[in-house]
Amino acid sequence: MIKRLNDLSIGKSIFITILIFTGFLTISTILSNQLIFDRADRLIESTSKEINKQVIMNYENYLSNMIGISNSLQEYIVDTTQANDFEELSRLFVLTTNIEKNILNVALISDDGLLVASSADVKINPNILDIEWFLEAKKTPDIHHFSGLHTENFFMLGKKEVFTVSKSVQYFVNNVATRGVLMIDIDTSNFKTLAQQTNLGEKGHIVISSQAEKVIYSSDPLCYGDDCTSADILKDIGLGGRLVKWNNLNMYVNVNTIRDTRWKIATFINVNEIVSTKADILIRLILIFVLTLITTSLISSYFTRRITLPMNTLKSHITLIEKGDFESKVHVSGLKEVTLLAEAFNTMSNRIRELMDKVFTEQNEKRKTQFIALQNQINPHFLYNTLDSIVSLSENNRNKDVESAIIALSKFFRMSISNEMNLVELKDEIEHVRNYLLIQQIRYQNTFVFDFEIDEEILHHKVIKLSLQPIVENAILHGIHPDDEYSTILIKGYAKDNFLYIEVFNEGYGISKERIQEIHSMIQSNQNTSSMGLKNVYQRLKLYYGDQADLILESELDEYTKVIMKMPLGMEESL
Amino acid sequence: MKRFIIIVLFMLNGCSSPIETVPLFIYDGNDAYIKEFERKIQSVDQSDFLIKTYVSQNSQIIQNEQIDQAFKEKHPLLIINPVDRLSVYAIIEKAKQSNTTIIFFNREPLASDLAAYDKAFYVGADAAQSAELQASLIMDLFGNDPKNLNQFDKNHDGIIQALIFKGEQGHQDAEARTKFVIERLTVAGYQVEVLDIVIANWDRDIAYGLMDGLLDDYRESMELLISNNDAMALGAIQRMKEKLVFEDTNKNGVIDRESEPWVPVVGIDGITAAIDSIKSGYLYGTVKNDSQNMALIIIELAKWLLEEKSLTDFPYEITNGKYVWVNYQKMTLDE
Repeated sequence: MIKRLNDLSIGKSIFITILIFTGFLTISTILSNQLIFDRADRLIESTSKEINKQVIMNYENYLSNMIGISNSLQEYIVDTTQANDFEELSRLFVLTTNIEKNILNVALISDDGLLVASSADVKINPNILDIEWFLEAKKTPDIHHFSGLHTENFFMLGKKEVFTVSKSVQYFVNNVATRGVLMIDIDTSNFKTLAQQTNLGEKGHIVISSQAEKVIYSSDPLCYGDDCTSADILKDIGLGGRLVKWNNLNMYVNVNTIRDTRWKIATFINVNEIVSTKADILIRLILIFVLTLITTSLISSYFTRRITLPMNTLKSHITLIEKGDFESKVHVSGLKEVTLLAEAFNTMSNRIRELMDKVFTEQNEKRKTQFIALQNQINPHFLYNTLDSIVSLSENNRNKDVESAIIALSKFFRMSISNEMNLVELKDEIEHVRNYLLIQQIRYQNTFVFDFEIDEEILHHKVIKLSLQPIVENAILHGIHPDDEYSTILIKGYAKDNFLYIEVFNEGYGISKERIQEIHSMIQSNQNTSSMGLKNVYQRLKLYYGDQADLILESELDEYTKVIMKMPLGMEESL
Repeated sequence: MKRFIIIVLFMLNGCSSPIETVPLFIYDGNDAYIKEFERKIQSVDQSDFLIKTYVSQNSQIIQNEQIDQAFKEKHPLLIINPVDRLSVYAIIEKAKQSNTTIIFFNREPLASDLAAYDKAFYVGADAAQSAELQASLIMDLFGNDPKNLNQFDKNHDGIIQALIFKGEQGHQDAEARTKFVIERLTVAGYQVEVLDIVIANWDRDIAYGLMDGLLDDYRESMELLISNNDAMALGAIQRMKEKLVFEDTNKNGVIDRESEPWVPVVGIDGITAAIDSIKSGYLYGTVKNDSQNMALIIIELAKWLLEEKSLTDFPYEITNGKYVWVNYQKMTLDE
């Protein structure tokens, strides 16, 4: 794990750190909000339950009051009918309607549908046997039946809206027990007022339904008959509470039963504000979270770039240095630490460059010194030999030859002395060698001839000064056959494949292959040997041109010997 | 996160209840009879499941809430003593949706409501039977010969002059007991003259208060006092004791029915005070509601239903596949 962490780039680790931090922050916010939301939910639930309880208690009190009245009336019915005093019973009914203003009518109807006693002097509805409250009371005799809201219907031409409490009762006709139905018509205005006594919020309302899921009453004006969403919700919940959407409003609905009745009541309490606030908070929370995430990523990537961008510049610069470029400088802007690092880096690469330059110069100086030393080895040796030859000419009174020899010598030396530079044009070197050969011809009394075959185009190429002369010297030394007059020394110059070749060809005994090997290894070694001239040239070639340059010996026994100097073209200025 | 909490709750829940919990709802903790009954249910061996009692404080709204919660907790079986027997249909509808078995007791739901759901049962005592046994007590008292009443027919007119204390007007049991006790006597050939039916709402104090006026009218003519329950009977006896209708002349704390003044009073329920009263000779007799046996039957039925055993082998008789009637017992000094 730690290793994997170490493998991460700066950018990733910054991002992950911030992400983890944001994550913790978000989770703790969500948790605390969850807590608040849960509390809010519980509060909504308990508050609506309390309101629902209040509403139901209002109705239960109201209805149990009616049941109480009915129970009292039942006692009186037994008493008065046992006494056969039906007049008294009717008076009692009237009295009841007078005391309890909500009660509009009270009547006792025999099971056959005949009016036994009534608070109102009316003719009974001939269809009484088919009226629902009458039938229901007879069907379940031991309970009070509560009808839905309807127009007075126990007599004809009723006008007022009532609900009817009906109950099967026992009464006596001539001391014989018989059964009938006690009915009490109750004005609905109080019933409706009860619904409005509790604040259910805007558009909050109640729905009361019968056991058969028929709407008895709804305080919502939009709800009538079977077309009532509230009633559907009531039916769906059955019993208990739940949050529902009602006409795009959040309502907390509680469904309960009303005691002593077969009714269910649903209270619709408007909790839209709380719920929508909750949703609002949630949306904001998500928004804040997303914004935080975006901002975090942006900031982290910005910081990452501020750190890694100069780092990358530094890195690519280091690659340059690896390739040997010490010249360019790193220019980074950014965090203080990084610019300091870059400055230190520049200082370091400067210092390295200075050190390298110094080493290079020292090396170069050393090479030059060595080079000049090698070059200087040639002149005294040659001068000695030539002067020796001139002495011998003079002894033999060959004054003409002495003269031409001295002229050649002076030309030879003017050239080698006058020019301080290490490089000369090929034509000058050729001229130099010609003078040399002239001097040697005098010395060797014209025992050889020489010739030049130099391509015109290479005449102006630079070559190492005094490089050709030692080879030619070698050719004279080993190539001239004492018996053979006019042996030939041929010097060829040409360019091929980006190399400059100069061949020195001489007729002679030739050299065996083994000897050539020997010479090759000799000139490449550091030991002092007899072939000082060739070795000198070889070393200078290598010093000057590097490995590409070479000195090659070719020979055929009794035929010829050829020394080829091979130099790369286009490197004249490097020393 | 919510899911995580639910899982944790589930685990906690799982740890704490390795066996099934059966919620028991009683309508009111202030009703001595129901409270005693609840203790009896709890004291039945509960190795198969745990009974957890909820007290509904005589409010159907509270009970609805508690039952709704129980439905949410997905208990397979509920034992309910409803507050309002008429509201039971809503509970049955809800139970149908979740296929929950319900055993009702003490307050009998409407037959049509119970019939609407095959997993609803009722364990209780038949009010008619209590009246029948009460009538039988009265017959025993009067010598079991309707044509030839014994010495308790004080005026020897061959008719029993009776005073009735009725429970709540309109209450199912009050109506049934009042109706059936007279009916049974009449059917058996006894002539009964009901001097008065007074409503005392099952209450000892109300009965005590009403007794004054009744004695004014019927002190001499009254041959029998029938009460729908023991409490009212005891209230009436208390007052009659003060008015010396009962008189412990030899002060031995016991009424000697041969030598000391007394009036036969019969109650129903068999509460402890009533049994004490019988022992001291005041209360003639009562009909005992066998709550001990009823508690046993409820637990046994719950066990069978939870184990989904066939009820055809159930050791108690099941009427109409729904009702288990627990018999009342007559209680007098003799029995």
